[in-house]
Amino acid sequence: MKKIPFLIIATLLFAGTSYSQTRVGIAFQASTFGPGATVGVQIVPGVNARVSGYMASGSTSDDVTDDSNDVTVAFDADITLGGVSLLFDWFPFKNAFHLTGGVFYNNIGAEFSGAPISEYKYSDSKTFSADKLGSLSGEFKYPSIAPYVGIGTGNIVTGGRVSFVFDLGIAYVGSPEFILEGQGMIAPTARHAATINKGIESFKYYPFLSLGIGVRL
Amino acid sequence: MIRKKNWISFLIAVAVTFGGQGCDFNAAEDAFDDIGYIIELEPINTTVTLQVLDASTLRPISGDVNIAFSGTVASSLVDVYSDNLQLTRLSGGVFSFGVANSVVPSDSSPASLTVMATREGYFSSETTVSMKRTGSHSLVVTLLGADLTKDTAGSQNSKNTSGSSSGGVVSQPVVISTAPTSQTQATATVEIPTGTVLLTSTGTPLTGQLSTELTVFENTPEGLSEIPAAARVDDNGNPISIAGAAFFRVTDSAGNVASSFVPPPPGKFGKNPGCGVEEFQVLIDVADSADGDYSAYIVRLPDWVQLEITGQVANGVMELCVTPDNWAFFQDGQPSDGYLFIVAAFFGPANCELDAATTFTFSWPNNQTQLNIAVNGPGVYYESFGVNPNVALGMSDLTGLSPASSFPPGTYTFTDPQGFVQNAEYVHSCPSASQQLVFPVVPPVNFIDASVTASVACPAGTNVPIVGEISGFALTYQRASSSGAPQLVNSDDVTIVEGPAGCSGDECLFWDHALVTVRGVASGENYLFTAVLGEDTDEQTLRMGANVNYTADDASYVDQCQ
Repeated sequence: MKKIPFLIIATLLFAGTSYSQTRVGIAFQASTFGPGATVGVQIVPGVNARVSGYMASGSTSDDVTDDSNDVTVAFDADITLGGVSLLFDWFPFKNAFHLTGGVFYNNIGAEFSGAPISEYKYSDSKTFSADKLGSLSGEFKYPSIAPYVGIGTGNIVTGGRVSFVFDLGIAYVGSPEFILEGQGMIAPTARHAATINKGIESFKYYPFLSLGIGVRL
Repeated sequence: MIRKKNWISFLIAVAVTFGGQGCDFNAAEDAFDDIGYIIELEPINTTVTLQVLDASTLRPISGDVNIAFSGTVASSLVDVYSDNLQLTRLSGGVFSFGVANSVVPSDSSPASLTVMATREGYFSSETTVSMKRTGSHSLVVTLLGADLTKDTAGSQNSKNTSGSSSGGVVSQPVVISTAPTSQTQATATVEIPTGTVLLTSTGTPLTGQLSTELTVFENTPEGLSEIPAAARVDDNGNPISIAGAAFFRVTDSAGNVASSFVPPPPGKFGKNPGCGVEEFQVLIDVADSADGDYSAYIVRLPDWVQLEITGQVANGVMELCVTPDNWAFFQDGQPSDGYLFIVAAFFGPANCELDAATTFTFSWPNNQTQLNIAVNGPGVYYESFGVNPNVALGMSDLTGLSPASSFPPGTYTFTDPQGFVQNAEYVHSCPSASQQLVFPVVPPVNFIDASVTASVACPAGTNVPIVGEISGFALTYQRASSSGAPQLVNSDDVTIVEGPAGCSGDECLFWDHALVTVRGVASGENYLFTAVLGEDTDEQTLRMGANVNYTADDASYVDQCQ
């Protein structure tokens, strides 16, 4: 996936304003998109623009034995959170409360693989090797662009020198896509992907909750 | 102006609306709940269904049979999962397997496969199939039981305990004969005189009560078909024109088996009528034979090595005088089961090869069914299982013999157990002239092509988790009232269907049933079907109609459901 550095977007924002008049703030936050950093500027009085970048990842692996057939399968999974957002805050009541709208570049996804590492005894006269059985691998991802609406408190641009920032909203991420591929005898297990995609197609909304500390520069 | 309170209320409403639409966790849980493995087997281009049948009943032999493969593709055999085949023992009499896809049989490069089957209590036998195309092939071995307890058409057996041995010397002569029956007219007689010393293969004399078994085969298709294939050819692989055959065995009360003998001293004991003092007599009916000298083959079991001797025919009976050298031929220190198998051969005009361009075609328009064809000639009888109609075949294809084999001259008829092949004759003369013969295959009008829907009796909510081709699957069928061997459904007549009609979601992912066209069956009659996948078999008796359901309920199949 192509990542657009949020610093480029920040630069473009600055290019539209005069430096001597620019009010800038930064923030560091933890969110449901992962930990991240934000640069904010005032566009016009009462409206700020924020560019944020988020990133977190994790991985896990395990060997699991299916008691029904005594086959041990080695699983590996990598999970990625993160993205880049361009949000616009409107402060209607001239305090820290704001309404927010914008767009996320969604990088949330996961990759996994599983392969038997033991034989499978089919009958007294037939045993399948792990290589013969094959392997499965897959990917879970969302469409890249996700519009966002939300509310929040905190103004890192025109508020206090140091401020508490909070955001709560919903990103419309679209139906996730589950991709499954197989090798060997168990390759057709990938046919389940269609049924799984139908089962998760309703998961189109992703909650955004962010807590952080802002500093007005 | 919109109050702040109204804005917040609006936003809460929006949040609830979007959040309320949210995620269907039940649907997601259902989607993941039913995930199970689905497997697909590699397609196998050339498959073989092996059947080991009892020669007397032409039904699969139950119990273990030892199997050994040889031939050009013996090292290229795979199981139905495309792994190297490790089969050395077969249970249930039926097994399907394949030839590695790297081997492509053709007319110019046929794939030859021979199977030797052995089982205690049966004479060992072997069969060869020459594959000239990909697709399904039949390989059938018939085993003759050595201990025949019931008479069958074409053979007759007898047992008695007339003889006895005292101090290792026969004191009461062994005299045993078979009697003609309504099914079998041929007879045989064995006489072992007093003074004879019967010895085991290790040189131990038999003592006490002697039990003798004698079986005779007559020169009819029924009789010839029961003679093990290896006893029907000479050491050069040429078919023997068999006038008659018999086998016998002598044991004592301790179970010792006689495999050689010492003749009585000259003049001290009774002379064996018809033979010299150092011989014992075997008489075999050889109907329709002119008087004179004939060849006979004494066959050593279990490896079917032959010794040719001379017999004399008078009044339709061949007299063979077995010398110690004849029987001692078998005394080589190797374990012997003691059966003395004798095949009497017609001594007629010299055999010769068929012209290389001579072919036989069984013409059955628009039909894919494989036929079982019997070839019956002068003292010659062979059955070929799984013959494809509408294909030009050589005599070697129909007999399993080498294309260079010499056949006795005479008239050969071709038949099938169901009587579909009509007026099929070939006159073989020496030297042989090229002939391309086409024989019509005409089933009776009440014979139909039935559509059989084959499925597995999976419990509700489960499926057989296989998709794609199941190349090693085979279906044999035989008419319940027929004495013929099972026929093999051609693999081209099997269509795999995934997902039941009207299925949705995961129901559509799995193998649901196979549609099989079974050709040339009698409507309204019962047929015995056997489904074979590797070593897994299932049997059902079905009454034939235009559309028939076959539901496999053997545990080996149902256990696959998930």
